[in-house]
Amino acid sequence: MEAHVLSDAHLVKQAGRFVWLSVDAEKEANAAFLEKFPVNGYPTFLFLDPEGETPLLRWAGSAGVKQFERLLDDALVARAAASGDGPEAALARADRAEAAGKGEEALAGYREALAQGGPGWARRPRAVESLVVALTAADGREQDCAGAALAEAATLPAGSSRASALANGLSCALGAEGEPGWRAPAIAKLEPLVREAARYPGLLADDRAWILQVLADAREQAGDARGARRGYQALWDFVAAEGKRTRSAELRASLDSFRVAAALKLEKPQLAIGPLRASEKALPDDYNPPHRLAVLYREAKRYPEALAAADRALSRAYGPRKLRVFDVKASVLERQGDQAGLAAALAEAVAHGEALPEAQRRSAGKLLERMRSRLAKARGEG
Amino acid sequence: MHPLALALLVAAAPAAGKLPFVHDDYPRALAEARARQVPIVVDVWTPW
Repeated sequence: MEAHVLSDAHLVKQAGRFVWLSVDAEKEANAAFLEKFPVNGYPTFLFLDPEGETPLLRWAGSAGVKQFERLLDDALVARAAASGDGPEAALARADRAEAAGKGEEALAGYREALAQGGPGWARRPRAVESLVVALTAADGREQDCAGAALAEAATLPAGSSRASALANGLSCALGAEGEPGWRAPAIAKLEPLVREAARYPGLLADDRAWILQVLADAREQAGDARGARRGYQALWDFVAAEGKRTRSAELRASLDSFRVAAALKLEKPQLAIGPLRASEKALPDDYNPPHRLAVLYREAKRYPEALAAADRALSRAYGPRKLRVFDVKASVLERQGDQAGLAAALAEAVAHGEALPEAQRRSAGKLLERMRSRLAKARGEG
Repeated sequence: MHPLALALLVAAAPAAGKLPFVHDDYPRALAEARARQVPIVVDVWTPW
């Protein structure tokens, strides 16, 4: 997002209409901000009214330039018109509620806005996308999420909002626990629609990669091994082609998580090692490339290289996510049968986790707890 | 020059091709937004 959209000349022209704040969620200095304005994932764009520090709109994930420009307009509408009548005001109230973490109020607001706006409303694609994304984030609403995608997104014109809402709906259905009766029919209806959406022109590369991954996951969950393999191969082919096409190291690296996922699902970790080494060379301060290389080398059973990559990542990592790097290092040492090294790595990880500010420690809670228990076991105390 | 006034000048005149992001300093962004009476756009991200 930062690598392309946020440097677009059209957006730069709008600089004076807002104050722009970048918050690295891993930094200790931002723990209090995130305690006050929690987000569900990264990146998230949050629009705030400075008077009363009121959240106006929250947007999870990336957006294209035109879409982001419309979000800027929507934030200004949410600031000015939330008390009025009509679908725009209803959308503004829903956006405010969603940004403030009032999930049920937001869902009712999006539905009200859609009902008032009717089928020809210009803001309908964005309102549908926001409704489905809000349902994705709500606990236990997988059926509603898949249902909204089918009922609302399937009526939208081809484009990024339709693609995003349909893929989120399919992702909700795939994530539903157990085998509820609605799940298989919903997947059967959504999967071909998402497959078609994956081919829409103009999607952002990371959105298209995510949609391809959801489609491959759907085949895997259906027990269709050949279909899943074709799906992950399609994901790999796409990110490989994007890697050759783009000149920006940041843009190339923004697809690295998909490169790793596809290579591992294809059981060919070596496929992604070259591109990840290129990312590490181009972005020497970023801990992610060596972190991901440690996983790839581990899966390729190249343990000394995995440990060296993990140590390079640890020297650059900070905040709660550093624990994930320790986790990879510990898994390599475990596979090597190095009990003393494992105990030392886990002790260092637990010390790092316990020194985090409380809000960050909470966000790393489960992983930190698991590491404490593994440390006790490695020391023969468990 | 007062630090806030300097910050406002920086915010009002972005370098060519770049949005004038304040980095990891919410109190500073809030003070600027209140002074200029404009909303704040927050990019919450993590190295990924």
